[in-house]
Amino acid sequence: MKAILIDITRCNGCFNCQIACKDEHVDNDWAPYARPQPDLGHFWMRVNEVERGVVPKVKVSYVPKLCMQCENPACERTARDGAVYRRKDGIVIIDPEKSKGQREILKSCPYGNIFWNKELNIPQKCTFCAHLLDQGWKEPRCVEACCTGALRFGEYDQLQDTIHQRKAEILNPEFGLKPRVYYIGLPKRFVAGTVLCRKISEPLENAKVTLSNFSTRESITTHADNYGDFEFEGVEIGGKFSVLIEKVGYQTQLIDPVHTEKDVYLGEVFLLPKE
Amino acid sequence: MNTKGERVFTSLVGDFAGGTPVFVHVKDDRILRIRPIIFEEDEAKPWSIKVGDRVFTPPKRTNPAPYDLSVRRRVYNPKRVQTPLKRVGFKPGGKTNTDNRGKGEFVRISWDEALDIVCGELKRIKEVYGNSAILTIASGHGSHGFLNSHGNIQRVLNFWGGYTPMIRNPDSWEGWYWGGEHVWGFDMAMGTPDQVDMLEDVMQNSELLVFWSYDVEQSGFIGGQDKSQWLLWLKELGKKMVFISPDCNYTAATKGDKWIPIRPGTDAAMAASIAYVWITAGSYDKNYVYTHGVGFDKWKDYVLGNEDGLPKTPEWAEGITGVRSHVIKTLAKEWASKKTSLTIRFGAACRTPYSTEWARMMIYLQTMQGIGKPGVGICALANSAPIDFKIKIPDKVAARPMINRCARVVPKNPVKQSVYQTLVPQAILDPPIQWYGGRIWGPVEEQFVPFTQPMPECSEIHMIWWDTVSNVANWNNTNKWTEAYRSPRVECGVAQTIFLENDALFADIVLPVCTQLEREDFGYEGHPYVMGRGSDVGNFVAVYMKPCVKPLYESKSDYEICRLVAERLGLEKEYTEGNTVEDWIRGLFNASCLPELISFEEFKEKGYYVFKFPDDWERNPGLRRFYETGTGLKTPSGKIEFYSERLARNFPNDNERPPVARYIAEGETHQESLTSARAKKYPLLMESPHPRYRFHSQHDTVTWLWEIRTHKMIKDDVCYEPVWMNPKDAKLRGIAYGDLVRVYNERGAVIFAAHVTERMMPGIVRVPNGANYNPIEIGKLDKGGAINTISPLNTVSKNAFGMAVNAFLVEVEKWEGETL
Repeated sequence: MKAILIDITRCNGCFNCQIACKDEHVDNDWAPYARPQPDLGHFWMRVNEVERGVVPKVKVSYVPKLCMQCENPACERTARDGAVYRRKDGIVIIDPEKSKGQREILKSCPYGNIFWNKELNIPQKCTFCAHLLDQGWKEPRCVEACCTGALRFGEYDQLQDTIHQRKAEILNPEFGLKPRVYYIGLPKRFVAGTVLCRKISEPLENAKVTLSNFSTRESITTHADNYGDFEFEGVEIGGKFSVLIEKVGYQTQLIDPVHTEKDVYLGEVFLLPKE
Repeated sequence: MNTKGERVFTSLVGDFAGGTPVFVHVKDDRILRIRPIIFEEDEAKPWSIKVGDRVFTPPKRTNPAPYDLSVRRRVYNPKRVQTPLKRVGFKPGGKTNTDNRGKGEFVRISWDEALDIVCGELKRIKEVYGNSAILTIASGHGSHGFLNSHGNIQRVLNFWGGYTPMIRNPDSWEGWYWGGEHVWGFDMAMGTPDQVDMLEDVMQNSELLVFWSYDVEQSGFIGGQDKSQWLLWLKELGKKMVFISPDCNYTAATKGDKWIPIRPGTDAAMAASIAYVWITAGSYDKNYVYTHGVGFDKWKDYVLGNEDGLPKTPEWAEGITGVRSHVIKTLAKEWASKKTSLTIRFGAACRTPYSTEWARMMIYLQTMQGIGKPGVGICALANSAPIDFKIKIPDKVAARPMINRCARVVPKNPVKQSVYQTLVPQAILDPPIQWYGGRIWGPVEEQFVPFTQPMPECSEIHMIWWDTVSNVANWNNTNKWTEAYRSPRVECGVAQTIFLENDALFADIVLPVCTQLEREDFGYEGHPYVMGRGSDVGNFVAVYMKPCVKPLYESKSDYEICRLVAERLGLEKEYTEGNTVEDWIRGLFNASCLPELISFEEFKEKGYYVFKFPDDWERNPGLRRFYETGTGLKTPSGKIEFYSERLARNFPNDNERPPVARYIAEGETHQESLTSARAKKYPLLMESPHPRYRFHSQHDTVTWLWEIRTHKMIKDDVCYEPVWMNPKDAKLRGIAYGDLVRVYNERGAVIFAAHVTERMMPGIVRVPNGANYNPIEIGKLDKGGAINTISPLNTVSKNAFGMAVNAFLVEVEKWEGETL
């Protein structure tokens, strides 16, 4: 079963994968695997830029997205006349002849990974470059183009250990489609701030900061660094928390509620010295 | 691997100064795909860097930038010039109407007619005004390849009586060149320090990396993404990375530990305040500044306020820079307490008004921390990889065109005058011009030599030959340049160009050039002597660039076009020396050490040779030798000059580039500060760094790149250049994400699409240079996103003639004009 493992922590947002896919499929006809894609507007491999935080606490993650080659593909179920089929190696192919006019296939993918070709009147998507793999290529174009090792391709069995060790996730497990694309380091939320002394506006290094989860009642702690900066990363999305900031000789501050629909930068938080 | 019926060629895509070796798959004379070269396991042997018991070694492959991979879309592109063109209404003979220059109104003509007109005009100009009336604008970043590098026309003209060259200013290095060189020399690298072995030094010894005005993930794309791999090593090694930049740049956003937003053009104020913290705390090397430097006390006087009554405290700096004083203090303390690498390559901060001051202070600061000792340097990372100096290969610097490297006869230019690049508009519109020399790669002494144009017995400019340039998108106040290009004083303009864009729009005759995938040539990537004496790759590769497909349409190679001109001028034998293209490539091959490693036939057949790195090599990291000896720099004292005697002697009373660096908000040459009177009307500062997803203007026409967020915005099938804006500034002006906006100052206006983002600090907007010019009204309003149409015209400062195209005042408003 072919699979792709994507390490977001290594991705530098160069977009090589997105470009290499264009290079392979624009103006190139790989029937019966895939007909050419249009010059613009299709993203069989798409790099999503995820901007997080506010000035000056900002991070960007890049999340490459391509056909998940689901074990349980919605497109195959929706298609008529066998227009979508799954190969023995797990790659899901939309037949460029049989799929003519089948707009339902386009709408069937909850990941949004299928695109409509107006000129050819067919739905199209990533094929893991099956036409190349069948000729003995080691990996699809996107993976080969990646210079930072963020993309890895291979048999699921070979990638399995790394998937488990690095706690790789799939996108939208609630869809129940059993995708074969795994992600290490998908961005969650951070809760950050900068702790300063109210009187002299100097950083309070080593101030203890505790993040408490309202629902689970779990707490984690960290300490402000030499800039007074603190950060909790990998925090649950859409959670409700409180932040407690303490330092000997200063009045404790409690900030709540802190909602993590978006990443949170609490800004400069001032502690008053105790009298 | 290739599929049935395909042939695989090799080429080197990208620019001459920095490109990537690739495989090019072709079928039926059509390019199918472009791929990185993945070497065989035993074919390549990259260098290794040991840190403790860990070994770091690059992968055995080339690492194309996204604009390298999309080259197929560049070759097959609607903006290609297909046939020679003649401007509608152009009449050779010197009395042509020039009103429609720049409007792109051309008719197709044959090569014969084009060459007849071009050579006819060359002869007429020579007769009427003399050769010196011919200006060649033939430098910058052409497509890769020795044989077809910029300047082939210069070789022809040098056999024919010469021409006036436009001299290139040190465009990416300005502050380092005009300022840094007076502190420590390094003129062969435009004032930036030796980089050799510095990556190893930083990996082994540095604890903290302060990136000042530097984005490896942006400028490092040039020459391949190898450096992006090295950044991941630095993260693995736990190096702390702090970024000082107006925007949260691409490296900061993905790998930074802290972003310190700073107003562009104010960096010198922050630097002075860091020195203030060190001096008052005594947290600097108090001996080193005297054993290895001269004039420290004068710098100290400035910093402490002994000189002007104004101590350069962090509180003082906060008001100017927008950086909180506690952040400055903490950074200063941390920097001094750790082995800190000041990580800069050149940086947008070196292209601002008075950029000399920041650049000099960067050297002052690291000198105060003992520059040259392990882990303490000014390191570019991107070109700091190990080099095998035993490799002999024709260097890319110095002489143009590059075929002069292996020509038997290298003709000298009989014409003595030149035109300095930043003064081209004035040279044409309002001569004479005067400047102090500042040739890129020139010796520092030239900065004290006055030049004038026209020189006695030389002519003003009446003809221009453009050799694949895009000054209009990249130089200073190019609305002024377009005015010059349209002047009737320029009786004939000839553009040798691949695309009908930028400067070529203003030509009278356009000659179509083919891309490097359509011609045969020799190239390499990764060897020193380009961009500051360090390698920028994991594997050094020489390439026999194959003609992958036949030249498209009626295009020809640069070499061939100039050969045809030479033929008509009766100089074909001199120009070619009887060589075929392959003969020239063989000459370049023989001028290297390649014959000892591979036969020419094998090299041609295989298409490339990847050099194996030796197991060990002699280390010479950065300024280590200077640290150990205290002398040897190319300055009058041999040491680091906080106070430049030479500047004091040559330019007494120059308060814009005084002997000791200082923060200068405004002066007679520039009023681009938020404290200037102009800021009332233009209250935002424009940050204009180099672009990431194109190389200056190259690849701007590649549609696939337009779909990259932050790079372009496609609205209603029209592609716009984005301007980054902070949400607060956008909201104040009623601007929503994606709205079209007008960015303007007195020099004109440019239309962009608003990219509202928290990566931009408040009060600042950002547009990189290079977007292709697309005027609504020439000289006034552009919709292509060419920000340089409205950048400052004036040079760095009154005696420093570099460009100042970053950190200037603008205002932004929602575009309510006609639908575009």
